[in-house]
Parts: sequence; structure tokens; C-alpha cells
Amino acid sequence: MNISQHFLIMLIIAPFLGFLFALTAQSTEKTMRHNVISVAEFAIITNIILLWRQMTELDLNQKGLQFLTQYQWTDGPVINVAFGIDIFSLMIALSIHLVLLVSLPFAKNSEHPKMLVSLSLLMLSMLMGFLLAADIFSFYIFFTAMLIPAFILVGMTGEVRKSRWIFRFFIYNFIGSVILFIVICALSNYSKSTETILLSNVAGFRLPRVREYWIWGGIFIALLSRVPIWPFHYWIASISGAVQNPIVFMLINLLPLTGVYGLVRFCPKAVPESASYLLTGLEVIAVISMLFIAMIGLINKDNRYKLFSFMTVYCIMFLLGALLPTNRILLNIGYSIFAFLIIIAVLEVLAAHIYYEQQRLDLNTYGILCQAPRLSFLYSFFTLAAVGFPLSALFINNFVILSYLFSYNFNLGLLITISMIVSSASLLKELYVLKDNRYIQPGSVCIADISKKLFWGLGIIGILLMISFYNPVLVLGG
Amino acid sequence: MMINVFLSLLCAGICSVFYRGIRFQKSLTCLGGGIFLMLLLDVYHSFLSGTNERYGFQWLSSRYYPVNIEFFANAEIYETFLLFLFSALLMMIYMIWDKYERQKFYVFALICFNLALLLMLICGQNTIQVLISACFIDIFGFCLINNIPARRQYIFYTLLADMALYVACAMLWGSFRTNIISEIADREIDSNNYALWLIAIATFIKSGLVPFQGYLMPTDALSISRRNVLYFLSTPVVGFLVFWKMYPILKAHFIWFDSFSYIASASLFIGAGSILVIKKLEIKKIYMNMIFYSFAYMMLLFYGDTALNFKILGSLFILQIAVHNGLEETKKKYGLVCLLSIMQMCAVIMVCGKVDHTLLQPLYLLYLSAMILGIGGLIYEISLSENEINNKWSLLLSVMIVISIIYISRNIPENFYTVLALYIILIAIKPYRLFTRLYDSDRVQTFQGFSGLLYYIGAGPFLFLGRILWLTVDFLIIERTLLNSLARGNEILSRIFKWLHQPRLRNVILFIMLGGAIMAYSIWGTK
Repeated sequence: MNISQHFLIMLIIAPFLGFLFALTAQSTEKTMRHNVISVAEFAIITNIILLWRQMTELDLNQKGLQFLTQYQWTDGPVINVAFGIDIFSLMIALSIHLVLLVSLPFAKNSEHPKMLVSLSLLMLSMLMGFLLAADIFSFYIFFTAMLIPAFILVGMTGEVRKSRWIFRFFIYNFIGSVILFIVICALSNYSKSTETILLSNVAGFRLPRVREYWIWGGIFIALLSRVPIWPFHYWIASISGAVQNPIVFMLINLLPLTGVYGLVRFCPKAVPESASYLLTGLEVIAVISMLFIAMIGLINKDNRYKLFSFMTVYCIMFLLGALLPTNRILLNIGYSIFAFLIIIAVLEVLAAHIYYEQQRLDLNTYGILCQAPRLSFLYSFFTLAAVGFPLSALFINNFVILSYLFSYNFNLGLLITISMIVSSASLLKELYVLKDNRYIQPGSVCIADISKKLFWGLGIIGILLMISFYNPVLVLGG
Repeated sequence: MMINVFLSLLCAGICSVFYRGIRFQKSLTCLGGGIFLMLLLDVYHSFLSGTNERYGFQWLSSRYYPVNIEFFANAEIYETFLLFLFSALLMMIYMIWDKYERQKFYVFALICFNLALLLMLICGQNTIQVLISACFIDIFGFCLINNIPARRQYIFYTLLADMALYVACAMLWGSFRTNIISEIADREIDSNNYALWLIAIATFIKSGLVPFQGYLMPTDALSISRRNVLYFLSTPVVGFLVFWKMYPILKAHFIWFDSFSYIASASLFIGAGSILVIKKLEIKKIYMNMIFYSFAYMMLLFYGDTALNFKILGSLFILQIAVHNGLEETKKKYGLVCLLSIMQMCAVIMVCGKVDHTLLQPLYLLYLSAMILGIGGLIYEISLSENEINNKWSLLLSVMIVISIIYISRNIPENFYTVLALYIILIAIKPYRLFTRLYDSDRVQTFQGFSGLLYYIGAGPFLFLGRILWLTVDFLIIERTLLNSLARGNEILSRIFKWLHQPRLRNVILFIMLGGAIMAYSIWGTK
């Protein structure tokens, strides 16, 4: 086992240790906020360095997971777990770390900073385990385990107004996890050998036709329960609209990406015939959901719902791109997700600042940005980057994804494009509500601008994004 | 050479964009003008030497999607870029005396960026380079507009145009697996390829042709310097340049081509008509630009991308800038610059005059009629009506424009006297009086029919469907039906289990029987 394989485990352990440290931090009000945030920053930066190290070791031309590491979990029955990494999972992992790093300063404003930060670290650890999982058991364990911190985060620190939204959140995700558990049991029953059941081997299983249908149907339902595809979109739409903390918002909105990632890992290009029928049905439902959510985002006045609808549209586009019968655009999807998550995280942080200030001063939304030039500049920049102007890696990579979608199915491509335009228009509409200065009177109360420190911090992220437009791999050191 | 100019412009832009001070504005503007003059002379020198050059580098080295950025230059490209450099120089001269513009050096920086991107666009040989330059120019256009309603309109229209162009390029790449324009043009393109249609729509939106002119209307609130940059170095001109770059692909399909020419013709007539009925001078000027751009599109659509056409369009472009600024304010310097511009135009026309114009005749007549009608209206406005616009220099300028246009038509002798007669009749019978009555009509002056139509056709269905779907699917089906059923089912299950777990004898017997049944099944049932 070489040193890179140990690094994989370290990527899961480092945030977990951070979680333990944060949880045991001294509970005095004066030091608690700074201590836990410092610990979290340290854990996240450590992981970013480790990921960077992995990036330099990766062979970008090699297909499949690299640095595969196996551990024997139980003797009877023999269950092995395996971990591995490729450029796709690495890009997502890196962007998740950056998202957390961007949102972390907002933990100070929370009522429960210690719980918020420690649970975020626990969720990060689970997410890393999920992204590195190479076999069905570790995949299932982390797929379900990440729900525990997510439930607590939403329940305790998410500032959700109604408990029934948590109930929906629980119902949908629980059903998904139970179905995946049944599928995993069925698959391990069909696998006669004692070797590790790798995710990439699942598509190669020769099963009776009816059972194959059920098993693949189960996999799709379990993973789609995370993606906001109709009728599963409702839990995440409700939670996104209700959660006011940027860390919780971002962590909850990472769950759909885990569904997309799961489908990418489960469905290599040679899926059984029964699964290919299901894939067609999935494409139809996905694209209708996409258009549907984009339209609701356009009419909804809630900024968070607009962000959610924008995220959903892109998430489904990534999903449809990943399900195309080609491996060529997987790297483009990874790059796109990298830029996309960072942009959304910054927008969410800025939106949260606006929301807090609005609540504090009891102000109207119209023209709220007019007296805050730093905030206005960053909000405009990241909105333009989000809607598709050439300011990040999103531009060129989405271009490639769209070109493949168009060549695969013109109507599919067209509907995706319309959804993208509608969701972009809703973001721009929100921007101009915030900048509409017609109702601003001279001498009226204004919101506080963001601090210079935060401005420059987010500005550096903007520059990083612009460099990622030029070359994403250069930024990541590959 | 061209890469040096590109980098010089970028450096000048980056150095000056951060200066937001109020002091030394005029001196710095003169300095900016000097930089453009030096670049102009440099490019002109290269143009005279007549060398073709090609500088390129591989931007994306992906196996599946390689993209090269190229700075290819030949005589035609030098000439086209010289036109924009000259325009930028004119704009800097105008800006020195623009008292309403407080951030002159910032505008200079944006001119530098726009010029650099225009150069990248003009030299581009592949769709992705054209697309990126066009989109970047829109971002700088967004920065240029410092009026919120104007910026709002601008960003929505340019988003649509850029998305259309983006999707068109993606479709072309998806179909042909190449982004080199000449290679795509050589392939057989299916007549159902909507990419061509999307390219045309994108360029028409950018140039503000009918029915997309609405986004330019609120820009009348900007200072003249910013308007200059926006109309002549930014989005509208980029629309035309993209059309020109994509022309080899577009010309393969005459069905689409006819439709494009109808839109361009409609823009020309609506532009001419609007000049007459709209009272506000700034809006009249926007419609004059619309006439110019629609004429440019028609030239390209009917007669192709020949060098002659570009010389004519180039001269008219400079003239347009002169008109735009000459009508702005009483300034002797403006008149002087206008004079210089018109002299330059006449020189170009003299060159063009040596070429047979018979092919261009009908189109020229159309354009001349529109321009004469429009300019006649302006002269009436300036000299004969009681309007506050009483500007000698503007009058002089307008007369000179008419002379110049007549000079162009000198090459069409059989029509020259007809045009002149028509013009004199128009002035003599003062038909403009009929239109000036409409100046008092609020309905006409605030008419935004096209923008409203676009809103109802474009955004209306999405808003309507969004609301309906939200109410029916989200609220009625999921919230009230599915989730309520789930919650209800959960409640019923809880009640059943609660009932079963009550400390009653019947429940004890029931559970014992259930345990017995499970045991029996495990012993006998599985055999």
C-alpha cells in the first residue's frame, strides 16, 4: 500500500477529528465561537492540501478509480470495503471544501455555533467517505450516515419554521436509504464470490431479467430520492426555502449532488438492457422536472427558492450529462460542478448577509444593494458568473456538456437550454430587485456593507474562478 | 503585431480601470487619445506594409475539445480594426469636452477592453473565440451602463442573445465536432439546423433590430461618451461582426436568409418612421443607428462580404458617429471633428466610386430614402420648428450629411435627380408637420409595443405556467394529496399500534397467536 492510499483514509479522518475537537471545545461564550471555527478551518485546509497532493499524483488519462485501497471489515460473512479516487470525485471533494470554507464565517452569527461547526465537520467527513467509496457497502454506509448530521443540522440550527418540513426531509431520505439497503442485500446475495463488490462491477452482474429490473429500479429510486426530480423535489424545495443559515443551506443542497454522483458511479456506460429502459424514463422525468422547477423559481419571490431552482436545473443537467453514453464529458462535469458550487456558495453567503441586515433594520428588498457598493459588486459579479457569462470554468464546460446533449437528443438539449435560460432570468430578476433604486430616498436607512476582509476574501475566490475559466486544471495543480 | 496591440490595449485597460479619482480627468483623456493615436499609426503602418500574419496558441489542449485562440490578420482585418481604432480616437476627442461624464478615465479603460475584444473577435477563426469575445464585450457593456433601468433591460436582452449564440455554437460543435468556421462552412449543413436561426436571432438582438430595439431605449439617460462606446464599440456592432464572421456558415441556407432580410428591411422602415414621430432627440439617434445597422445587415445579406461593401459600411459608420455626436450639443470642436469624419468618409467614397455600383442600386435607394426622411425630419426639427434644439452646428452637420449622401448617389446618375427632387419636395411641403402633431401624444411617445410583445411572448407563458404548476402540482397534488395521505396513513398506523399495545387480554392472546404463527411458519413453512 503506497502513501497515496493512506491519504485517502486521512481525507475521511481529518474532518472527523476536527468534529471531535470542535465538539469538546470549551463552552465559554467568549472563546467558543473562535475556537470551533479555527478548528474547522484547520481541518478543512488540511484536507484541501491533502486533496491537492492527490491531484498531483493522479493520472488524468487513466479511466476508473485510482489508488484503490481495500480493508476487510468482517470475517463472517466476509465483507470488504474499498476506497479510491478519480479526478471527478476529487473535483467535487475540493469544491465541497471550498464551499464550507466560504460559508464558515457565518457560523459566528448562529445561535449554536459549536453544534453547527462540529456537525458540519461530521457531515464533511461522511461526504468524503461517500465520494471515496469504491464498493457497495462503504457506499451505502456513507450514503446513509451523512443523513444523521444533516437531520440534526436542519432540526437544530437550520432555523426552520415548521417541523413538518423536517418530517418530509426524513420520509424521503429514509425511504431512499431503505430501498438502497434492500438493493445492497440483494446484490450481495447474488454475488457468490467473497471478493469486494466494487461499484463499477454492479453493471456487469448477470441477473434474472425480472430481478434485474427490480434491482435497477431500486437503485434509481434510492439515488433519485436525493435529486430534486418530481416527486422527490418537494423535500429539498421546502427545506431550501426555510433554512436561513448559509452553511446548512449549502450542506443540504449538496445532498442532490450525492444522488448524481451515485448514479455516475453505479451506471458505467455498459448498463443492462433493463436499466437502459429505465434511463429513458428517467431522462423524460428529469427534463420535465427541470423545466417545472425553473418556472416556479421564476415566479417565486423568495431568493433562496430561486437559488434552489437554479441549483436544481444545473444539478439535473449534470445528471443528464453524466448519463449520456460517453465518458468523454465526465471531466467537464467535474470542472463545471467545481465552479458551480463555489459560485452558489458565495451567492448564498451574500444573500444571507442581505437577509440578516434586512431583518435587523426591517427593510424592503427593493434597492437594498444600492448603498452597499462592495456587496453590490460581488453580488453582480457572481450572478453574472452563475448565469453563464465567461467568468468561470462553468462557461466552457457547460458548453461541451450541452453540445453532447444536443447531439444525443435535440429536444432534450432544447428543453435543458430553456430551463437554464428561465432559471438564469430568475436570478437576474432578483439582482435587479435588489438594485432597483427607485424607492430609495436620500437619507433613508441602509444596510451595512460587507467587511473589507470578507470582500477581499470573496474577491480572491472571484479571481480563482476567472483563472478556472482560463484553465481549471492549472488552478488545481494537475 | 496584432497580439502586441491586443496586449497593449489590455494593459492600458487594466492600468486605468482602477483610477476613480476626479482630478486630471481631461489630461488623462488626452493621454488616452494619444495612446489610441499611436496604436492607430502602428496598425496603419502594418496595413501599408501589406503583410499577412498569424499568431495563435492552444487555449484548451483537450483531446476531445481543442480550442485555439488565433490572431490572424490580413488587409481586410487591418482595415476593419483601423476603423474601430479611429472611432475610439474620435470618441476620446468628444469625451474631452463631455461635462456630464465624471469618470472619463474609467470609460477610457472600458474602450481599451472593448477594442481588445473586438480585435479578438475580428481575428477569430473559430466559433468559440467569436463567442467568448462577444460575451466578454457584453460584460463590459454591463459595466459601462451606469443607469439601473437601462442596465436591467440590457442584461436581459444580452443574456438572451448570448444564450442563443452559446447554444448555436454548442449545436454546431455537437453536429460537426469542429469549431473552425471555414471547416463548418465546407460541410453540408442540414436545412433544419436551428443553429443558423439562433445565430441570426442573437446578432439581431445585439444590434437592436426590430423587435429587439427595446433594450437600447433606456440608454438615452447615459452620458454621450458612454453612449458612444455602447453603440459603436460594444454590443450592437458586435452583433453585426458576429454575423459577418458566421456569414460563411449562414449563407448556405437561402430560406433562412430571406427571413433575415425581411427583419432587416422591417428595421430600416420602422427606424425611419420612428425618427419622424418620436420627439426626444436621444431616441431619434437610437433609431438612426438602427437604420444604419439594418442597412449594414442588408448589404451583407444581399451582396456578400466584399471589400467594397466594407469600405462603404466603414465610411457610413464614421458618419454615424459624427451624426450622433454632432447633434449632441453646441460645441465648435464637435463640428470640427464631424467635419474631419465626413472628409474621411468622402475619401473612402472616392475610392468606392471607381467600382460599379449597379448591383447596389436598389439597396442604396432604400437606405438613402430612409436616411433622407430621417435627416429631413431632424433638419425640420432644428431649423423650422419651435423645438429647443436650435443648433447651428447640428444644422450644418445635417446639411453636410445630405451632401455626402448625394455624393454617394452621384455614382447612380439616373437616380440622383429623382432623389434630390424628392428631398426638395419633402422639405418644401413640410410633411413633417403631420408627424410633429404626434409629439404631444403620450401613447406614441411612450409606446413600448415591441418590448411588451416580447415580454408576453417570451416570459409570459413561463410565468403563467409556473404559477399554475406551483398551485396544482406542488400545492394541490403533493402538499394536499400525497403528503397529507402519508401523514394520515402514518396517523392510522400509530392508532392501530396503540390499540394493539393496550394492556387488554385480547391483545395478549393476539400477540401469542402471532408468535405461534411465526414459529409454525419457520418450522414448516420454509421446508
